[in-house]
Amino acid sequence: MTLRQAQGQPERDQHECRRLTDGELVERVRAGHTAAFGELVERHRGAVYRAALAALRDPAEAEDVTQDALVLAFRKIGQFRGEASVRTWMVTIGWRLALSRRRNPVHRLRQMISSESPDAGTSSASTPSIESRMIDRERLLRARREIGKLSAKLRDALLLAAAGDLTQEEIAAALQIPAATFRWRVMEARRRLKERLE
Amino acid sequence: MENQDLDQLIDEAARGIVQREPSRALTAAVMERVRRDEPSRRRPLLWGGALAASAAAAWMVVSAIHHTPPIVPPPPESTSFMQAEPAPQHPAQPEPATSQNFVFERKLQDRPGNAARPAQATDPDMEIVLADSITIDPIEPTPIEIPQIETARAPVDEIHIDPLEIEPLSASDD
Repeated sequence: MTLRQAQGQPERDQHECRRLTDGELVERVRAGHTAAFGELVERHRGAVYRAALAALRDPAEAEDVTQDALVLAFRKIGQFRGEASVRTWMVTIGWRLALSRRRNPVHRLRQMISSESPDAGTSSASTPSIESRMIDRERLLRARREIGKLSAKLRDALLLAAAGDLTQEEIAAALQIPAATFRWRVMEARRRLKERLE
Repeated sequence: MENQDLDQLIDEAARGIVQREPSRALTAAVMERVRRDEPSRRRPLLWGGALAASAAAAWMVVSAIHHTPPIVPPPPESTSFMQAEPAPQHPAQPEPATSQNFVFERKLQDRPGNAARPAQATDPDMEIVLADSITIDPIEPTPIEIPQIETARAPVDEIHIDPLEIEPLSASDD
């Protein structure tokens, strides 16, 4: 094999992996093709990250947890039985790690400090004037504060639904609750928020 | 604020919290850890293989040591012309008549199992090689002389105790 061929090999592998389904990639990883796991990470890292963010509401901590969750998924890939999608399985791993992190007193302390100065994050560019933009920003900050004050169960349901990566059934499976319970939690969270924001 | 506006506000606020993307370095970091993790993940397999190989090797050695050649039944007494001539018989060596041999033979005969198998004892093919007898001279005890122990009496000094005088209470200063 020439050097040029050797250099082109990973790219060809990567290109080939992109055409495979999640299930086929899992089989490849089990057969020892680590590069196939790279493709799975590329596909689902966003969903795992957003689930961790929903639980922790801290981007740095969420990224740490996502990394741990994906490495754990690689180690446990032999246990993946295909009952749920690979995305749901990875999100479930990430969700559990995030919950474990959330129980940590250090995280709680950080959360208390960061709640004093919340970051609006998104910009509302659609508003025309500076004044109305300021008002919108203020309302948005207030809404975020109120979301933070919700009970963990209601907040988790609302934020996971807002992440938009999984279906209601998949989120319910990740939370290990019936889909109807998940839907009720989202509705209840919205109802309480409306009461407080009116 | 209208209900629809509130819904929109809640959606926007919730999305603002979670709708973010992880850094580009995340995939590289994960893959680096995965590659680092890979040898340790395969290590149990290697250890398992090594254990299985060593167990197989040990079994082969043990089986080679304890391997017994297949029992070949003795050829039946043939009357063919090749075996018609009797094999040269070695004259039986006279065993020294020692008391130990006598006892040994007696014991062999006394055993119930051996008594039931008289043919085995008279089997000409079987040779019982007995070791030469060992004669042990009787040990004669020699008396041990113990010298008499002399005890010396140590003189004891007499102790003189003066009679105790008790002072009368009236003479005391208290």
